[in-house]
Amino acid sequence: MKLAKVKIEYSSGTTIVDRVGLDPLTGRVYLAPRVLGLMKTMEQAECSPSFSLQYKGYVLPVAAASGEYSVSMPVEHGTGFGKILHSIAVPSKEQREQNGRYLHTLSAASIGGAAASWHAALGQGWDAFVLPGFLAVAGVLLWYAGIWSMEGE
Amino acid sequence: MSTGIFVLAMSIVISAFFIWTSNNGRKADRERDWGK
Repeated sequence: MKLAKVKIEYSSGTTIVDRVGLDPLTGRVYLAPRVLGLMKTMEQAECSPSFSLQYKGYVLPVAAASGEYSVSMPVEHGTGFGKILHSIAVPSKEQREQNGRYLHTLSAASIGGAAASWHAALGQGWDAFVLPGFLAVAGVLLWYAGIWSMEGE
Repeated sequence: MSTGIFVLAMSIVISAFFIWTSNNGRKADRERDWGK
């Protein structure tokens, strides 16, 4: 049995935050009689609430069926190498922001390189301007990818 | 010429990879938040 935080939000703005017992194997949620009483009282004057449970960083919707409450437990992404790969392939908001900054650093380096190679190419024929051109395009592309990664809400 | 093509190809690969990962992250966030 684990302890988890639940949040019951009503459309009027009333929010109940409490701790409950959670069976991680079955997903069964055990509410204290005090919370059940509050919910019963609120039912008389409110629409059905948004009922969520926080567990290991996940926000899980709580389903009610015949007086019992339960959540579907999130799928764990293994341990060790698999977990590292998952954190790279599915980054959090903060990691996406860092990725965006990294891309903008690469973009700045490309633009700087384009400017330097442009000056080096002067007086050496048109072929010498291919590299600064490609570097400039790479800079714009990386800048756009950075913006995409950092996109706000 | 080949250096320029290599630089451009690498930037396309890096951009595509990070756009793909950020899309995955956003999708995971949406799925995680829908109970809120």
